[in-house]
Amino acid sequence: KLQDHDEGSIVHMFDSELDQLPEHELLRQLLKKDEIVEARLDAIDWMLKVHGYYNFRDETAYLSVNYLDRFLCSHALPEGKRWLWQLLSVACLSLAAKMEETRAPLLLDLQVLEPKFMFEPKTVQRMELFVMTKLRWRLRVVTPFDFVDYFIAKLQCLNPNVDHFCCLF
Amino acid sequence: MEKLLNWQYKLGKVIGIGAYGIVHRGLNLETNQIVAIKRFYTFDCKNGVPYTTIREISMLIEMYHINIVKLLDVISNTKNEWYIIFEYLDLDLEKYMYIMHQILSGVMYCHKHRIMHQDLTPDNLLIDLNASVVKIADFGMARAFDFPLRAYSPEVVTIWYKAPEILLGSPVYSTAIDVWSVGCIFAKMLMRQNLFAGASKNEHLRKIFSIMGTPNERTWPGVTSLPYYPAGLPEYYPEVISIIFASIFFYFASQEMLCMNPARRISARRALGHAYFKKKKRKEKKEKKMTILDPIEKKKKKMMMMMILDSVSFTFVVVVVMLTDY
Repeated sequence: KLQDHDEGSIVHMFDSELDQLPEHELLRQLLKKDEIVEARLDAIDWMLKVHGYYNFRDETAYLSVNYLDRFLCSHALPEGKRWLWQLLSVACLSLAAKMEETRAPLLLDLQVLEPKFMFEPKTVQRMELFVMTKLRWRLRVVTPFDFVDYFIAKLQCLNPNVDHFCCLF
Repeated sequence: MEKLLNWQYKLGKVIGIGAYGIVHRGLNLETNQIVAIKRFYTFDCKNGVPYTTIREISMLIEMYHINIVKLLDVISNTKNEWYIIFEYLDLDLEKYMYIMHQILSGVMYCHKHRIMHQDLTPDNLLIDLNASVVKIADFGMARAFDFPLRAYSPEVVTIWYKAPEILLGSPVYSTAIDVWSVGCIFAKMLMRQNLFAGASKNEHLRKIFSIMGTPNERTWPGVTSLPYYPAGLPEYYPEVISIIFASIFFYFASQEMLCMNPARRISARRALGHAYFKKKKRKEKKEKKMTILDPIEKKKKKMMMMMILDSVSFTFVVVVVMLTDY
């Protein structure tokens, strides 16, 4: 099965990853501000906790943080508004879940583990749309998982014994 | 005609109503281009923006292929109503035989970009009558997949075009489900009716088995332990398909695209490499040779090679670390 998609796909994957590179540089600049670093860590912390609570896939965690970071690069959040950070976290996690999970929880159910602020689904929906616009609707992201899977599959072709190690990933 | 907020498009008559929105004909006032405008529903917002909308937009926005419908824009008005702008195409898929090549090309492109469409039906194929080009549309059910294919939600694809492994409740499935759907569409095009058309899931399975033969452990290892494998089914033998299809091409299609065992089913890429399509392929290759790589493209390729090398060594390091730990 692998041979059917591999070469073309891997080229496309590297191309997409290159397209996402400039944003990393922007983020590095952004993370020099203490306030942003702290708020971002809080946001990620909450997203990962909910991620664990619902037993989401690994990709969902990666995507939600990716959306958060790319949003921060394209839009400056006003200082001191922690509720806005929470709203952003809910929107990013919800978008990632909808991209990856077979079943994403309702927006009210997603806001678990005692967040400091709760939002109406309608508000979250507007934020989702705002985030997507800022990300230029590019929600498909090349993740390290794609590459690891690819190379593991490659190793399997070379040596059938490698099969045993796949369960470790 | 109602005007949209940004004054860029005019809404015309309704040309289609789908489960997730109404499609209008429209006009781009700046370019005078005729477009299709799909409004997506945002009023039921318990779950925010529907996942079908999110997936459709995010997948289509990255796809550039002649046989995939082109997403031009996503816009909203002041009332928070959102619209997706597509290129406009005539909705008709009746006549042309060689469109199969185009359908397969489009499907192959999706699979190459690790996207399973999951809902290929005649309704989701659009045709530009002037240019005789077919385009695959409606990616609301599509999803990205990874190389070791995992369990995905089973409730996808309109039943008549559903592959047997989904109907039998296989927890894991692959791009082969799209190929099965294409096989069914091809059969429909030739016969002007559905090859398999059951009212319920079980009846549909029975119809498939009665024509293709009941699968067993020999033709499809593991099939009898699938959750919905019906017990006590008569053992049908495959019908002489050539009588049904009366054409060599459809003999090929039925044997390889409608192969019950997904592991043995032909891939879109291999199907395109089939003798039937060979002539067309040669012509395309010639055209490809004519295009010269531009410098940016070359630089990208070079960087890519370097990154491949990095990733290879990284993977080896990971494996080595794992080995020492265990």
